[in-house]
Amino acid sequence: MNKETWELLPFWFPKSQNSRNWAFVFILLTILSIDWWNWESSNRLGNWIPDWIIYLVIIQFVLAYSVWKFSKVFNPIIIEREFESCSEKQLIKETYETEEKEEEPELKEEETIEDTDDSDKKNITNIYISDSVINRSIIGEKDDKDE
Amino acid sequence: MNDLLTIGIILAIYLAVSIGIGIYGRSKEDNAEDYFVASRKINPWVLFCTLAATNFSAFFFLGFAGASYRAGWGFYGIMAMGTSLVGLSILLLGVPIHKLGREKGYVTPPELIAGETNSKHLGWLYGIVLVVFTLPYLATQPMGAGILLETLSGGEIPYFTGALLLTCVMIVYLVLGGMKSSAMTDVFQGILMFSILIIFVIGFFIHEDIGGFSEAGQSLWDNKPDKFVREGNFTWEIIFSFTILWPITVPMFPQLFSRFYIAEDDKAIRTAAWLYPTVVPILFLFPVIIGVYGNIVDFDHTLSKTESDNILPLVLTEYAPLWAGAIVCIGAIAAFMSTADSQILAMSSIITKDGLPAITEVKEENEKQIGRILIIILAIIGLVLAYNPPDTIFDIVSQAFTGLAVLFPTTVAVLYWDRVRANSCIMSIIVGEILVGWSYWSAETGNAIPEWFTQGFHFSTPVILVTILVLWISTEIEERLTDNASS
Repeated sequence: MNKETWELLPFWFPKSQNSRNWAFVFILLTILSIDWWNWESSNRLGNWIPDWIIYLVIIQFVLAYSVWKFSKVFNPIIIEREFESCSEKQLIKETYETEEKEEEPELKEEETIEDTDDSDKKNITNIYISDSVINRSIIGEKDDKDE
Repeated sequence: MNDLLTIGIILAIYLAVSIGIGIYGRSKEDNAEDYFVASRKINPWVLFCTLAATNFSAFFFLGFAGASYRAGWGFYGIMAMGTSLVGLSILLLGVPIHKLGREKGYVTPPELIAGETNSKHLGWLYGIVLVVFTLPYLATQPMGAGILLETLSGGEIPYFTGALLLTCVMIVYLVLGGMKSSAMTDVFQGILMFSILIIFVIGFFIHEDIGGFSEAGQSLWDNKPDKFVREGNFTWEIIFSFTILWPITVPMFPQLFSRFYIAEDDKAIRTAAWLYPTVVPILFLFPVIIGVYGNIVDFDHTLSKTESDNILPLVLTEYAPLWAGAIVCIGAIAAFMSTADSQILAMSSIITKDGLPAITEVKEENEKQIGRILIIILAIIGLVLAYNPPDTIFDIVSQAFTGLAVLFPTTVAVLYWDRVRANSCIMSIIVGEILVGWSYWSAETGNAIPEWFTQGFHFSTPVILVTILVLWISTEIEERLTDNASS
């Protein structure tokens, strides 16, 4: 599915094939937890606990296992929006911290790409780091430091 | 020893330990971020304990047992699967919220929503909804404490005195410590409440008057077989509604949402996410068992709806010695306090960081102090609301939960949809809350919500669907209008 197509999908629709597979697993478990075929059952285990409770407990353990597996591959895309999303104070603070750490902007971008292994990922660029890079470029600070 | 003195000594020991842990874990740094989000340094196990203890409240101890007394084992179906699915919500929402919080310095839920949509108005609306619908839920915590102490002491500790006492203790460690104290006491209170609950249930069944699991089961089956089946108590539509309501509404609790910020890294959230559905299936059995088998106490007398919230202390006074009953009550009180302190702290941070700056200038160095004052004010509001409770705990929370669930589509859209528009989110929340208001009005006037709207499901299901549709369609319309205007 190309970028234009999935951008038109509603926000709740899983974007990648991997996400759709996991969505199928969790929806299936949710549906299976409503065991309407056994709704009127009054069978009991050991006389005191209904069979359907045991079934529901097992479904939940399968869910726990699925969440555990999913938690290992889940890597959400953090959307970077184009407007200024923090207060000016925050901007100054971030810019200051960025400069203080002497981070390489190119390296930061590479790290971000590595973080997202999803095929539908977007390149995330921190707007504040970008601003600071522009400022550095204008005043030539970056080049000086590199040297 | 005098009964009141026994209860008093056990209660005093518990409260002293809680305050001690709260003081030990208190915020050492003098800034608002440390006070409200514990400097974002909470490890996976503490995070899991604080998430669980915060979520399992008076509703878990008394509300579950009361509803299970009335509706039987079917109530496990209402609660368990949906709460296990909360683990999935913790993962899907917690990880991006944590990353954004760390990257952009967000401390409260409305800050994130406003920041990511560039809309202060959406942030305010989001914050107002959070506070308005958390207050009734907050009131259920002192309510639970009051009910418990009054029943256990045979009326010697009046309902409101019990509620007041526990609220005061909570204020002390919250004002002193903030989020770090709240998380540390949650670990203590969480372990205490679960271990006591498990021991009590086992103790109940091996009691000589009960005669073991099998005998108790047969006795209940002979007298009230309807408690074992769902048919007649709940339809599958209702159970399905609650199964999807819990994972939608629980992460919207401000006290849960705020905890996504405090994790030391996203691995902590991933760990908490799978631990959650691992413990819920077993843990939720215990209050349900107490409620269902509470019917054994007196088959001839059925408690009224409101009285049934008392089933746990009633079973205690019937089958446990006073000291044991007092210890179980401490477990329940731990559940109330661990939820209430987190609710108050979360609301205090929302008002300090989002509400007050809209009205007046708030200096950063004063935020911690303002947060402390608000903690006292909010605790008093909770007490006032609990003074004369109108409904059962379950009725109060299920209405509050639907009001918070309305925020879920907006939150997901803000985190995952780059086309999201603030106006569409505002529209979605307003339409959703109008529908929730309609449900309140219907409950007050006795006019049932029409069948064509609910189709047999709980009211929350169509409300959530409508809010999703409004958000989606209004975004499409707004985009087209903007495109037309620009072309």
